[in-house]
This record gives sequence, C-alpha cells and structure tokens, in this order.
Amino acid sequence: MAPHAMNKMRTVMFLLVGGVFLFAGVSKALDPAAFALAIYHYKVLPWKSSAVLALYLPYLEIVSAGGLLFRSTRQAALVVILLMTVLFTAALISAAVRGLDISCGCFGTATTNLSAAIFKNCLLTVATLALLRKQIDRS
Amino acid sequence: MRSFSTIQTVAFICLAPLIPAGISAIWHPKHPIFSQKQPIPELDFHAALQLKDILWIDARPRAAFEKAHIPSAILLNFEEWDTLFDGFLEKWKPSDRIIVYCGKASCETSKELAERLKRELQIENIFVLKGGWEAWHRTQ
Repeated sequence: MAPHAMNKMRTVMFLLVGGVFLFAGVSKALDPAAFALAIYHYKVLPWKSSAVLALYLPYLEIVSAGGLLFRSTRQAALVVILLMTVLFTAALISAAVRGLDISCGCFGTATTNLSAAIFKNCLLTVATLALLRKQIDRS
Repeated sequence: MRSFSTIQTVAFICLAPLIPAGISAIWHPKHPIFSQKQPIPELDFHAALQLKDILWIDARPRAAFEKAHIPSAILLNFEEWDTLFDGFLEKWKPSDRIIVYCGKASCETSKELAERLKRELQIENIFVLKGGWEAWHRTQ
C-alpha cells in the first residue's frame, strides 16, 4: 500500500479509536451510578470497588482519548487504551463464559449484546496494537 | 524542554482522572452511593402470588413478550426504555408492588431494570421474579 494511503488509514484509525473512547467515557461519566451497577453485575468486584471504578474509568477513557491528540502523549495514550481494551475484552469473555445475561455497560445505559461487544473490543484491540506498533517504530 | 518518558506519561494519564473522579464522587447528581448496596429482593412465583396489587414488568425483548408473557404484565425493557417508560408510568400506582422478570434464572436484566426504576423513581416496593419467565412457565 502507498505511504500516503497508509497515513490516511492510520489517521482514520486514530480518529476511530479516539472517538470511541471519548464517546464511551462521556456517556459513562453522565451516569456513574448506572455504570457502577453495570460493573457490579459482572460479579467480579464488590459494590464499593465497582462504584470507585465507575467514577474513575470514564475519565481515564476521556484523558486517554485526549492524549491521542498530541505527539508527545500519543504513545502513552495508546498503551493505556490497549490495556483498557484487553481488560474490557477479558471481562466480557469472562461474563459470556459464565453465562451471565447482562448488558455490556460499554456506552452508559445503552444496552449492548455481549457477543457484539466482544467482537467490537477485539477489533479495537487490534487497531490499537497496530497504531502502537507504528508509533514505536517511528519514535 | 524536558521530555517525559512513556512510562512517566502513562503514569500522568492514569493519575489525571483522579481529580474529576473525586469531584464526581462528591458533586455528581448521579454519583453511586458507597454505603452497602441493598440488593433488589427476589421472590419466587408462589410467594409473589400471595401479594396484592402486583404490577408485573416484563424486561425481555419485545419479540419474547409478544410470543408469551405473564398475564397483565407490561413490557418495559432497556432497548425501548424511552418509548415504553411513559406507558409504565400510566399503569403504575405508588401503592403497587412491582415484580420484574426476564428470561431465566441466570438473566440479570430484571435486576438491572429494577435497580434503574428504584433509582429513578425512588420505588421501594420492587422485586425480581426468581427464575424469571422460565420459572413461571414451568408452573403453567
């Protein structure tokens, strides 16, 4: 693929990853109580830990998405986003394997089917990994 | 100008959200309550039948509801919350005991929906049906 096309594709991927995390962070920050319940229903963390995570995670997503905008913070932001996508995918797979019929909680109160969420998270993980790898090669 | 290492920047990205998170914990109108969460009580079908003034809520997808549902149940699910909520408000009286059910025992949707109703409307008399629709269907 021509370098120009590769650059365009990379820009699109940055916008996609950043856009998804920004949207996810903002939608969860609007209702942390609902997000805390969604985390609690994964039956991994007790209530208080779910509540703390529900307050912290949306802003981590927003700050990470913002970090993609600046060259000096881009690599670190990609590392944090990659860790989050891996963690979220593991949580979703764990819920699916245990047969939990729950909403994903990925975008606030909007319900998302677990299988669809796992698929989307896997795509995000691959995209983030590709971007991080290129970022490391460039630095 | 000093440049920060990736590890230092990762640490900054991870620590920066603590400030808005702390502010949210105190001032957000929808912040989670840290006191021990009171679970929504579960009722089995026979116990539910002993109660008066029951409003059954079906939290399943519309297709499942239209195929079969507990008589007098109304549909209220997350997918169609915005369109169905008004219908729920028309039927609900504060003296009603609300029992929410979803598909089966492992389904958490009924609990999530009951928790949302409890949170948004400050409803206390709200329960989930133990075993869900499957449990009711087995008794028929």
